[in-house]
Amino acid sequence: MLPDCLSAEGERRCRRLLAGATARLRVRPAAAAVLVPLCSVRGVPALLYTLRSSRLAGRHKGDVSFPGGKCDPADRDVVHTALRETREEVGLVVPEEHVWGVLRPVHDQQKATVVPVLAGVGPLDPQSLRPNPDEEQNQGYTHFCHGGHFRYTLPVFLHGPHRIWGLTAVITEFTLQLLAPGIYQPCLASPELPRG
Amino acid sequence: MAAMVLAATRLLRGSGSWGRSRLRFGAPAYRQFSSGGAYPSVPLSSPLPGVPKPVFATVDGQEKFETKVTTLENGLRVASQNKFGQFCTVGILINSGSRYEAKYLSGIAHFLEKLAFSSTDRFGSKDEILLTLEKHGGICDCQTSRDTTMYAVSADSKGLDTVVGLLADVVLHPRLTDEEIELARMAVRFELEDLSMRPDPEPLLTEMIHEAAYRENTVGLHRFCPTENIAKIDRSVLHSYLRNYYTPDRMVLAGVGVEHERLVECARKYLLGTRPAWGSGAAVHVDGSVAQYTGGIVKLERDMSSVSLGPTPFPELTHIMIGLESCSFLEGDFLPFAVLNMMMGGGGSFSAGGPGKGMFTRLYLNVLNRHHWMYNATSYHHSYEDTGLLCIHASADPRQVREMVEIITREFVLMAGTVDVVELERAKTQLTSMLMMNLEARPVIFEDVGRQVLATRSRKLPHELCALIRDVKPEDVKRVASAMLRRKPAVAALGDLSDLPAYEHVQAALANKDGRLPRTYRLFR
Repeated sequence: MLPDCLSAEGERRCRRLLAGATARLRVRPAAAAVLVPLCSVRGVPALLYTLRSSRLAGRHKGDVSFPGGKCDPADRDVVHTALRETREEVGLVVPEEHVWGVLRPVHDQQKATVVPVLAGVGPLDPQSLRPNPDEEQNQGYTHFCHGGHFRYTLPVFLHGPHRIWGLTAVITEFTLQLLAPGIYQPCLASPELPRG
Repeated sequence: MAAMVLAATRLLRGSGSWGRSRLRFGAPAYRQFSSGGAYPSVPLSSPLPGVPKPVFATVDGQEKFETKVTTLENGLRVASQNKFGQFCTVGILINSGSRYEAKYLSGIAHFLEKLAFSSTDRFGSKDEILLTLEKHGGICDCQTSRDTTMYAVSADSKGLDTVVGLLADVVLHPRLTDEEIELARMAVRFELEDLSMRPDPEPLLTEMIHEAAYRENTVGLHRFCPTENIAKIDRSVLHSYLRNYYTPDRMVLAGVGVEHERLVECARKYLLGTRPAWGSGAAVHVDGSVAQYTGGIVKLERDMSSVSLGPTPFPELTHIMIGLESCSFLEGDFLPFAVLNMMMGGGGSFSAGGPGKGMFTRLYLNVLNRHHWMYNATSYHHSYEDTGLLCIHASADPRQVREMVEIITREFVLMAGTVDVVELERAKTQLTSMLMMNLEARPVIFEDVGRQVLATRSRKLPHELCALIRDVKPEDVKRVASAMLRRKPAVAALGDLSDLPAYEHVQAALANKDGRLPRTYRLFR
């Protein structure tokens, strides 16, 4: 079932599902955008992640995330931001026609919105870490509290040498929900909007 | 001497007027304390003539008892380790603690600890339980931690049946009357007050470092009941938690000094097929959260200038704890981390020292011996089933907080540097000897058996662990330390924090190859 999600039929289905959101959110200003590169490694569908350098200071040092970054005033829209940042960070050039659509925006701790952009990038040689969406048994979840009350549940992916958590895990969950709605069991839950 | 005594007695016997009192003076004066006269020349190397031959108990070298584990039909695991002795330690360990309290009121585990061994269906009060145990020379105790709750009884082996019955009653059928809950509330309030008043800040700092490292999830949740929840916790809240977490598949009945078959028999009698006090519904909401290490900083500004509880003044100190994520005790890297922790060692600067106290560990040699103003530098390693935390606690005068932080970050960075072979061997020997010495005590064996079976369904025997410790090489330690340093730090600070460097600076210091804090230029010092 999963290899079909990369086929032309799967792509059309995803583009159709995302069309409404894309039209709405594409031009709305956001703080940052990330690219969710859907690629295939040795014929198996995979997502491309980056491992942030542990030499950098900052809140996300050493974490696994998608390529992306802050929106520049010079960018036309969030899709442009995502593609530009990917080109700068990973060196991967993704033409705009390959963008399938825009996923639901997520908020991080400072309430800044991060917009994930889904794009198909075709076959890739293994460069950096990429977990296999097949491995649902290695998916876990964590309940978070705030001020003594239960607030939200975030997914966490344990497969592979690095753990994927936080906003990256949330975006991965959105992607998997979209690509394999029957197979993937979402666990993101909260009484309110998810806060990273 | 004997001759003089004999002479005195003859004198006394002779005089008639003293005749009646002869008996009084007779036996005590004649007692011979040395038998040199009776058996003049029997060598100690051959058995005494005319005395039956004694039969001594023999120990045949290795203790070949292994830990036996049986799983009952309802999922309960029974584990036992036989041991020579008249007494046994039996208890129930449950996978329940403050880390599962995300969807409940924080502090339930703390309350359950204070309410343990109170009245149950069969025993009217705590006194009745203690009296029953006294008949078998027993004592009981309950301990909760972030992920495990332990109810344990040490008693004579002949009373095994009573003891298991008592444990089953205490765990599954507590009455939790309002009176007892009120007493538990008072006990919790006293403990919180004690925590905030005592000069030794270690439990409070452990709380804070976990909160900083695992922000708002699993093991970062409060282990002690927060003040606002004390009045809110009552019987129904406790039952709603117990229904989900005190289920047979999360429990282990462990025993040391008992026969395995006897223990399984008692388990079947008392723990199989019983309906607990909170009704037997299936557990609905079991929290399977994975602990997420986030890193971060937790500060508590507090005036520590007068923490002494007696007439002797206590110096004003600022305490900091810096921690990094290590690994869980189920992973292969756990033993290198344990050896690293032992190598760092440390303690208080007022330690009298001595063999085995760790006087040649890095924190003593490089930190406490060189900087007289450091009061304390100790390393701790907390490990859970999906994560771990290696942290160093340091305390000094508030005006030297910046230097103190720099020294600690430097020590962290040096962990990933070269490890001297002699140093490593010393740490490994110390770890092995501490492990073996502690495992001589029966309650420690019980806890070891229980926790290992709870986590992994089998137990690594001490000699296996010793072999694994011996296999730790300097490259292993360097590898785990480098991996650890790549992650974000967790910082907890208590006291006067005016000189504390910012979290980003601490992070930069740990990434720096010398462990130095970034230079800040201040106009006014």
